[in-house]
Amino acid sequence: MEQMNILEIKDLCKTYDSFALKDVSFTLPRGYIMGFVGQNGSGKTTTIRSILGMAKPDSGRISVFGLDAETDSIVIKERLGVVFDSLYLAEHLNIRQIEQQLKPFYKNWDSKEFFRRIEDFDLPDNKRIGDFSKGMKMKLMIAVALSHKAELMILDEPTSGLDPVARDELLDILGEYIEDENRGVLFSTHITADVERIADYVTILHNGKVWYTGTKDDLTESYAVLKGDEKELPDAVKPKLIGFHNYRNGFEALIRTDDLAGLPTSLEYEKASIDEILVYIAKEDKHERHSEHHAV
Amino acid sequence: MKDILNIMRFDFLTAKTTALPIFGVIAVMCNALGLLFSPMMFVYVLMAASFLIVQLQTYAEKYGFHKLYGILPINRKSITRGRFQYIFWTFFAVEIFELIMTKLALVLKLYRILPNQENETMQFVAETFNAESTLNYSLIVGIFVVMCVFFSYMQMMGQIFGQENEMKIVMITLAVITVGALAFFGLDSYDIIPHINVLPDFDAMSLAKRTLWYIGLNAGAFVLNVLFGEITAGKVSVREL
Repeated sequence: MEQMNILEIKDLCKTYDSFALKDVSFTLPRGYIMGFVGQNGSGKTTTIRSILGMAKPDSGRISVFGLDAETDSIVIKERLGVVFDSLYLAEHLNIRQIEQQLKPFYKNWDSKEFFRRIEDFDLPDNKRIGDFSKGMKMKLMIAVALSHKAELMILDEPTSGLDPVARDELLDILGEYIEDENRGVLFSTHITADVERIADYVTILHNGKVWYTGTKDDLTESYAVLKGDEKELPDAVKPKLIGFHNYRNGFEALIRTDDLAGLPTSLEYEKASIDEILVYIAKEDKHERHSEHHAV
Repeated sequence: MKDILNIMRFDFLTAKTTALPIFGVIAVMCNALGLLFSPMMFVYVLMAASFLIVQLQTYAEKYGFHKLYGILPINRKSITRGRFQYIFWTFFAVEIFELIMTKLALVLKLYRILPNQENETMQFVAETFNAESTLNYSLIVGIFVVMCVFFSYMQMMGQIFGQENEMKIVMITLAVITVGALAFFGLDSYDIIPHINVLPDFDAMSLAKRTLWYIGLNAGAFVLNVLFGEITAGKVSVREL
């Protein structure tokens, strides 16, 4: 029986000298796309490297397709497609030579499917891949993933540095890929517009911790941006505000929609975008650090 | 085993497009010169085979292959073992080919088609085609052992301590070998240590015994290659990528 969750991470901890992942837990059900967002340095890439066995977690459990990521890593990688922000392939070779190199590693490799995808993606098969644009390189990696019938696609910042047309194409490809309900996509990005467009689930990492994980709709419905005059703000609400900032014309802060009840009508609020949520989390962080600094 | 073969194939395909043409040109030239003027030229083909290794190393560093190895469904130790086996079998294939070329050169004696057979230079050329001498074969086996062990050692040091330290590693290694050799020959010349023949007299041996020696030297190079590979795999496979 197929596992309900294609990816499960439980209490993942990993400490480096200047950074730590703390109890990261989230799950991605089959048939969905998860946007993995957070500021640069929030721990997205470390989490992905841990899933791939490229970083060794201090504690916690990672399960992919119901298999243990540490002990079953080879079986998992057979069924996994990975797209990094760089190729890590021999860029002096052309697509045909790359295909020759990679196919022996995968039991399910389908050369016909590979070249069909290459044709669909309009990639020249006789040109050095080093001469490809970034968008073309991303498409090549996706073609590689599709050719060994990857069930889970993990993409680390695939759209950063892409022009809007290439980004749009890439998101369309992912949308088409997920039409098969047995598949899943985890893609890390700090371009939240991409997440808004195609993700079903969102996990927000902040300072190495999961700040939110759940459906995208729940996230955007759970938070609002509150604006108005600070004098109108009841004292009981102030501690519930996230990223409070006072401007010349009034304050702005993020607030849970549950906490909006009973607020004066003079205060305005609107649904928060994922981008705004990230910005207010960062502001809250700065504010806390500022307060701690003054307390010292 | 299949994983190791896949990595060797991967490495060969990486180096092939740029290194193989250079190696091919040098090999054709040296083999032609070797057939006509001296079988000793064949050892340069073995040296030129190092292009196939150096070029691979350059690309692996340049394109961050260590990350790719993190994606591929393959055991990390197999990746390292594959690289070491690639080094051994590249040199070994060239060694066998050049031993055959040597035999061919000594049988054909193509120098005889050259003009001015009587002059002094041609007399010298003719001597290098002396079928009685085992020097040509021994040189090829000797150079093979040196190249194979040196490149395996460098691969080990480079992977463990970082390719950026390669020049330092080369200098330290050469210094240690030079000091060791000078000390050995110095002590030997003053009869402080008993005289040891580093290499046996191959000319005095029977063909069977000489062949056994050559097989032994090849096996020794292989054992060192595997040993360096295992040490490297043990160290490198636990590292994060």
